[in-house]
Amino acid sequence: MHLIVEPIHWVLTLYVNGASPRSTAALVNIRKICDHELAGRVDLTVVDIRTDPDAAIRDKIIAIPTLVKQQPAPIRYLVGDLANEERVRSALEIIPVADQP
Amino acid sequence: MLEPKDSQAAVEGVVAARVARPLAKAPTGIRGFDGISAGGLPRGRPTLVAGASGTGKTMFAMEFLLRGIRDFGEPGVLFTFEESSSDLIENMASFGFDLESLIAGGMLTIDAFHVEAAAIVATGSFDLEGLFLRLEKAIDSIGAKRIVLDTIEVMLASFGNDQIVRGELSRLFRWFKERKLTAVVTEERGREGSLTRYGFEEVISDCAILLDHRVHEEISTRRLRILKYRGSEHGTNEYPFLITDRGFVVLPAMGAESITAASDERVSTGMEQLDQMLCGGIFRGATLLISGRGGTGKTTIAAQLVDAACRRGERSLFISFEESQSRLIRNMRSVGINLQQWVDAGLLKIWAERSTAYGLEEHLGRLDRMLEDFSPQVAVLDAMRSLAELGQERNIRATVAMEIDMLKSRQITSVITSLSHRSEDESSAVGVSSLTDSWLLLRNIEMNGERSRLLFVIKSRGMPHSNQVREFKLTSNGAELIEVMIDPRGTILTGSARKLQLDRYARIANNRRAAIKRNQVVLQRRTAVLQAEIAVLENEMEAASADLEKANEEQFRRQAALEVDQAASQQIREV
Repeated sequence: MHLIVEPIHWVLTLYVNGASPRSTAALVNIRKICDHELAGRVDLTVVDIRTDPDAAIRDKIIAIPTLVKQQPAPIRYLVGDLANEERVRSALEIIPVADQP
Repeated sequence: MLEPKDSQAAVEGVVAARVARPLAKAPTGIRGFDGISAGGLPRGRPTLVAGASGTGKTMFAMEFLLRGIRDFGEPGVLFTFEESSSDLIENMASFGFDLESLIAGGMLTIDAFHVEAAAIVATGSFDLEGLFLRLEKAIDSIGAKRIVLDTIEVMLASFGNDQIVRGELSRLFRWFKERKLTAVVTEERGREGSLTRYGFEEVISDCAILLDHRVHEEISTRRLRILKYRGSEHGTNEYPFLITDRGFVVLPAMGAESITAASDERVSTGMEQLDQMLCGGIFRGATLLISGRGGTGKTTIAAQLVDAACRRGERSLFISFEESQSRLIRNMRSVGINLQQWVDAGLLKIWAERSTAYGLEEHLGRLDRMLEDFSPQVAVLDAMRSLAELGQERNIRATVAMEIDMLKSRQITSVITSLSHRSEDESSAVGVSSLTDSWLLLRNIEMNGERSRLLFVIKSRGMPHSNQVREFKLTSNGAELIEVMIDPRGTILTGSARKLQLDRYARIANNRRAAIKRNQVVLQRRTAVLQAEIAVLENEMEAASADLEKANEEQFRRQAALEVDQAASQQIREV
């Protein structure tokens, strides 16, 4: 019997405050992951709360930077500059490509 | 380096400067609170309201906000992670606040949302710029003057970096001051007895209030304390408070002001003899405790006082835990007190409830509302539950103390009757006697197979202590006091024993009167006889003295004749 594995797709939104050091760090950290493990399987949107405050309010954003994982469910709020790679990977439920059957 | 003295002086100088310029205050409109805080919360500054869950923090904060809008025209923002806005709108509607219309009217903005702590993953350093942004937007949208942040620290803790949160909270509190927002920040109490989660929020707040809620044996006691108030005087006691269906009510405990405000006016008890025993009645606004066992006449004395108050045109509230209104009226009619007329005239309100029907807190809430709506000048709390029955002396005492505070703070002259079952309860009198100004003890005594009532004045403020005692009679014209009779053995005589003793005294007096009369008759007779004898002797004496005078005159006459003869013969010889 064949297991039909739906290709997992990630939908992420990163909320930043202009080019503040923490926001810049968060952006660099998530870009690295998107460009490697999640290459081709992710939609990353970056929202600057200075230019689009209503989005931050609508999406319940308190801390900056915050990365919201909308897909795959469940929704997760990754608060901080994403410096803790271990936690980020686990929260995003990233399974390394090499480990896939 | 500053010498300690100098720095002390510097501190005093700062304090003096602060005192000299009174702090602007934002009234909360919460009943009782603006009194103990000398006008409300510090205007344009943050206040911390801390307490365990369920102590009423949100209620306090919401009233500050909503009354601020409704009563003082200051638009407000609520920011909370706790409840959804629809829950909150429903909740506050039950306290009479229409949040939807306030929101529609541009006076209120609610930013309420919830994120499960499990959905938050801490990944590194951050700031709370998103929070600032939200607040700024909400504030600017309505020109808010007041803001409430309700238990936000619970969510902030899930961000995983206390140090950053501390820094950001400090920044937030400074931001409130810069923007001149009167802010209330509520927080759950921290662990290990610390006031707040981060342990410094009270330091960066201008005012810190602690709420406490203890439930013991189904009796809940809520207390409010102002821990600090920068630059302002404030009451430092623990103040009991209630959450009633009309919201938050802080009960003013007895402070120095209320003692000096005590009235010198005397209020009649409706019994002239009792007024005399109390040096002219009880003070207006004072509390009279009447204790005694069942059937000693406590209710009658209370009713008589109410009757007298209504006659003076004063409104009276009679709270009966024992009897229904109709039974109370009927029973009092049988001793000649017509309460119905006062009910009809709208001067008397009888509130009959089984004390077990509600929790004590709800009872206090109802009492508060009754006092607020009816504003009586006289109130009776008839038959506070027996302690022996309840076995929770401390809590009953706390509840009664609260009731007395509520009555005193409104200058209501009050009567509390206390039912005791055993004689030892009579004298301990529920442990509330120290809270009352005057204390009457009623006692039934049985003697020769009959019952009589005695009334003792155990204490009365404004008069020397004396265990005055009177016999107390219920007649068809109400209660009546009689001087007690004490027989030579020192026993108090009442009822028929008193009557027997009175008869005995009357007999003795009659006998004595008869004896006196008899003696008087004897004396009269003796006097008459003796007077007759005196008359005879006087006659004899007169007769005897008349004879003697006659004889003496003869002797004088003869002697004179002899002398004339002698002179004549002398003349003849010389010639």
